[in-house]
Amino acid sequence: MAIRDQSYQRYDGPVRTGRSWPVIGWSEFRAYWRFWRTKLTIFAVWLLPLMYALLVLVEAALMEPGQLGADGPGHSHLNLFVSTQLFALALVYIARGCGIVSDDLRHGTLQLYFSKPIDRIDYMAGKFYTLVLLGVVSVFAPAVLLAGLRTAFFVQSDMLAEIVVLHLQTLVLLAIAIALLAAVVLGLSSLTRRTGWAVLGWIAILIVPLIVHAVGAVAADISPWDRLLSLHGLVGLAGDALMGGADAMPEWMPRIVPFAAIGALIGAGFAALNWRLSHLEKIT
Amino acid sequence: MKSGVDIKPATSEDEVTRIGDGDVVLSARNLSYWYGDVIGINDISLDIGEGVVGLLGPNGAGKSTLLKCMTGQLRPATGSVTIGGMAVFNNPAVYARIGFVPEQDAFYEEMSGRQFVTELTRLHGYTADDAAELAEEAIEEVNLADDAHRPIAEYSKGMRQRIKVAQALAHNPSALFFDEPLSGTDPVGRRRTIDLIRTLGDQGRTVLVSSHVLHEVEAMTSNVILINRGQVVADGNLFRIREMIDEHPHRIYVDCDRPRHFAALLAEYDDVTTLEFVDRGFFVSTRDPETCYSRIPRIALDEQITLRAMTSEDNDLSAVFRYLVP
Repeated sequence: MAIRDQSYQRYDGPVRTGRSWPVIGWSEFRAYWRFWRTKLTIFAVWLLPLMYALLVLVEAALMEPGQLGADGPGHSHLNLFVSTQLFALALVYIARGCGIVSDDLRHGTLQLYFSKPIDRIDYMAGKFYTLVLLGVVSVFAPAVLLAGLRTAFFVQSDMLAEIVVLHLQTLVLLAIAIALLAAVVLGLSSLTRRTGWAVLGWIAILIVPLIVHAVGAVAADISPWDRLLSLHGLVGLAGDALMGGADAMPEWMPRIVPFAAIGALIGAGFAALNWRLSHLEKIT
Repeated sequence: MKSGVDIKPATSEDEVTRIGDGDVVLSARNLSYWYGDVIGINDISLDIGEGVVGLLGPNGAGKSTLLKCMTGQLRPATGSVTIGGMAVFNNPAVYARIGFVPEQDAFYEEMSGRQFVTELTRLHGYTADDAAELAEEAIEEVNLADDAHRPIAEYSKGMRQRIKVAQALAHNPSALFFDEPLSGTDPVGRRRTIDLIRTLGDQGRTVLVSSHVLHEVEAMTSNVILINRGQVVADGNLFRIREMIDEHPHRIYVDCDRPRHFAALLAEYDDVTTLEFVDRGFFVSTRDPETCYSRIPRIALDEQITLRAMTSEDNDLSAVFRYLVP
């Protein structure tokens, strides 16, 4: 008997419209937020930006009129700020984030997800969105606060336009950094059922290039290619390229290189998750 | 067809198992799936209608693999599965009309039962308010309303099972799949789950329940598919399968203090076919198990034989498969 010859029931259930990834991302984020560990970690990483904000206030209070901006728009301070925020985000992902997919693999939650009317892409984007939300709350929001404060203090100075552009560039750089770190964590987490292994892998990815970089620095001059080997160095190079710090970028290195490398890493993270979802029979 | 039971040969080419009432809802054709070199299910073709259908088979028979192929979790290596005429794998339109209760406890432990069901229901495209309302109804249906606010981490095994059922029910699916729904549940939870599954079947939904325990499925439905080594070996009415068990000689183990004397007394009865002595007792095979079960303690009492145990290894699913699969 052919399937087409049979009499089937008509489908009268609800018709799904729209994408499910925001629901997946938001519900996972709320689940993370219920943990005290998440709240404490985010509070800890907010301490440094709050200190920065305090320093901005002190600077504005102590500075004589006309002295504002005498030291320039603060390019180097912002570079340092971005650098510390990167480590803060890495810390947040160690505390919460490395289990984003591995927990689902271990608990079999994927079976529940994929018995619902969602695509594989919804799951991938939803999990990425969760990590991005963690990044936004942890490091992007304080950067916005700091940008607002500094812009407010420079509102009547000649440097206002320069300050606004610089802070916008900083925010773009942080957004790129969050996307990069989130994608790498996503990929790592999808490679194992054990969150502990994902955490160790993440720490190794952060630390090993720094050690290589330090050894290279002692042995020879620091080459920009060394910076391409670490996430921190990559974001730094992207910052140099983005903020016009051409002095830090060698002339022979095209400005597209750090962005291309970041794009490739983000793609690799998603590719790892996609590979895992294509091999569900190994885990379900 | 043999009095309600369709016993299949080891290979059933061009043969389609038809079970359940009403129109065909779920259809599979030539379904196969391999785990590397090991075959999980082997050329299964079946049509399932409304009502509760039990998917019976020993551990490793391929029940879970079949369920995963039917719910779109796995892409079949060969063949196809359709629900309502639509191909299942990677088809969200089909997922919208099915509910799946996996065997594993797949939870976000820190969520409350209510949040868990609501969030999963939202994946069907409902607004937060609609999803919350549907979740509440489903939680009521599984009798978990009083505990819905508690984190799932605090739930007992039975409560976990029921909250899984709630998430599968909330969007009002027309087809439901339960993978070993009674494993690990306490007697009260077991009773409630069985009643719920029967109610769902009475509502005209297609409910497929996998289990390796005969009496569990017997409490839910009389329509069963028996699967072994990845193939459908029989389908039809469970009561007929029960009769088949009784038609075959039952093997009863008797543990007593004077086994040879006891065996000699039993050997006088015509229904006793064989006697086999082991360390502490003996096995007796009988064609009339009901009479033999009542006879053994009576003789022991009359002859003042100490009867330590009397068990049958035939009254279970493995016995059914011994009869059906040569």
